[in-house]
Amino acid sequence: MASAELRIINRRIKSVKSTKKITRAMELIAASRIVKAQQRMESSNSYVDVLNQIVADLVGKGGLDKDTEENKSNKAVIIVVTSDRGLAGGYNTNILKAAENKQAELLSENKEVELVTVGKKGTGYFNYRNFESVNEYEGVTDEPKFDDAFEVMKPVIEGYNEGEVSEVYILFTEYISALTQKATVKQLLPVVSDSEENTEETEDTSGGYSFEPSPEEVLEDLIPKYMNATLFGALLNSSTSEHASRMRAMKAATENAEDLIKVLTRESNQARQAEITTEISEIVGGAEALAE
Amino acid sequence: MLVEVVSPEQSFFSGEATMVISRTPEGEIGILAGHEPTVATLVPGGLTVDQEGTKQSYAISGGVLQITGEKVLILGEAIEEVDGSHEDAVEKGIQMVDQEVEE
Repeated sequence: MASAELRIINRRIKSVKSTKKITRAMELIAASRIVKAQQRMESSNSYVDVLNQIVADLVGKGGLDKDTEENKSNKAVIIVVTSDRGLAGGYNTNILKAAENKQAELLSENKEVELVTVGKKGTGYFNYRNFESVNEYEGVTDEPKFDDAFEVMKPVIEGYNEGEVSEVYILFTEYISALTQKATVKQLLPVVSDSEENTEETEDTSGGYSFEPSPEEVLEDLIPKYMNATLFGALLNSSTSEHASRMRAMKAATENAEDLIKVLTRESNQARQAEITTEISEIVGGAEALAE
Repeated sequence: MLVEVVSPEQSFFSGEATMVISRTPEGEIGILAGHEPTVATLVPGGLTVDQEGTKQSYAISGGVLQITGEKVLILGEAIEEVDGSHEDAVEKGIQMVDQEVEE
């Protein structure tokens, strides 16, 4: 009887130990990937930021007649960036919650919502809830390439050029630091211009530019580039966040496993001791019976 | 003047240069220090950065050029370093885009 208990405990210790090995390995892998992902994110920053700045300047100047663009249709595209694999703590939950909120908000404004999911988790989540996504992409989020962003954006840009799509949002997880990542909604189209907030400042910088060929043509050419670049930035942010999130989750899991092993080892020792005590008392009892 | 050449994935050049040659829809453009602030789109072709005689050429699949004060920023969607003259780079850049179209 007692030995059965001992065996059960020992078996649990063994399984917790092997789980700990896995979580520890995942923690180390995530930690090594985070550095690379962060570097890639930083090297893309200047490209993405400058392009955003130029487009925002141009739109602020009225290079694109925003009102007519907006009235063409009421279709909005949401691009949700999640991970392919789980075990990343609250990473996917947070972004999916934000995505659902945004979707509900757009639907309540009577807009037609088209969903594009990047990452297996997002696809699965929405399919389970019967929101079919128009396009699904996998195998991108681990190490996003610029070509990936290009491919995801292609149908969206086509839709925009044909006047079918008027709003585009990207939902991604912004990497702030190793400890802080934030689920973020980025409005891609219509372009939010800085100048609406502080007219004076941007007019000074953009007013002085000369454009080649013309502001309208430059803007037209830039919009797809800007969309690709912004999505690429979002993918890189998400990827870095995923690794950071996974590292933290796995670190916590490893620590929990250690605690659990400690408790179980104590229980196992106790059970073994109880078993020995029982045996001794049985032997003593037997010897006494014989002596009589 | 300060010149930076960047693609979304990496930075190719960052430093002082005397002249930059590139290509906009209106034709080849040469930029010297003190150029007026400009934003231009770039068509597939070559890009050459001249550092007081030492020239480095790149093939570029298209992009944007921004000149602000003393800084020239070139953003290319795909950039490749080319060992050779500016003409080689132009050819390579056009090839890069042709390949993409074929695929």
